[in-house]
Amino acid sequence: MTTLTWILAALACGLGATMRYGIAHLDPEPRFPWTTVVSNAIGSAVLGAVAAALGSGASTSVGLVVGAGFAGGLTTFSTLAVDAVVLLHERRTSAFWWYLGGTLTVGVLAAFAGFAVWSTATA
Amino acid sequence: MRLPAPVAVFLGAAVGGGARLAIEELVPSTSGIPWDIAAINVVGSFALGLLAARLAERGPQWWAPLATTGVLGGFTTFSAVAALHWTADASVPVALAALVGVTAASVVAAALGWRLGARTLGLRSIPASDVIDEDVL
Repeated sequence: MTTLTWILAALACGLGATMRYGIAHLDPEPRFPWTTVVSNAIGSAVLGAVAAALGSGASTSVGLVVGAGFAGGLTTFSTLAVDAVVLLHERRTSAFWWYLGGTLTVGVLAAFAGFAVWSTATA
Repeated sequence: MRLPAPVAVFLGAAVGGGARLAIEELVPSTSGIPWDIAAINVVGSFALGLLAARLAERGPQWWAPLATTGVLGGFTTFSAVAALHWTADASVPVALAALVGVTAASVVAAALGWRLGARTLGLRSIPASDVIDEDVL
């Protein structure tokens, strides 16, 4: 990784996180942390598409900037974990399981969709 | 000078993401479970749990968007774990095990961070039985 790629990827991470901040503010006082699920799903789809693009010859630098940078910044694990702890803290056990199960399921399906759509569209 | 929150998030995430990329660069990549990403997510979740306990007690702080949504949100990443099967040639069982394992470890780490933050601040701590499955530890 060149220094330029590193800087561009870090800035792309900032861009992704700012988008996540915007999505979170669609519902500032959510009963259920669905905005985190949405950000994590979109970012997983983007990374799935990047994986397909890399497989068909896209440059590693583009993969680092868009995948590790933008998609990495759009998605978050720390908010996911703390959201889950807050649901437990509020004794909302079923919401806790729906949140974790939903995030993981939607995230994997989104990554698969991103990969499949990119592979099909560029085949 | 106080930064507008979206600018603070942008700058914080550029720093957090830059750190994540540097760690990924330094740790030799292996096929299968990405231990560097797993460790980044567990450590970041612990730190956010600690900060969240403080914020729950004190209310909004000027540094919150910078440190939480920005630095720790950019440092940790969900997509790299969710898309593991496609990015790292991990087999489906390994990829799913990594996703569930990293999620469980991160939630436990966030709960421990919260308890530590709450205890340091003298908050009523959450009973461990509410947060952590005893069998996990």
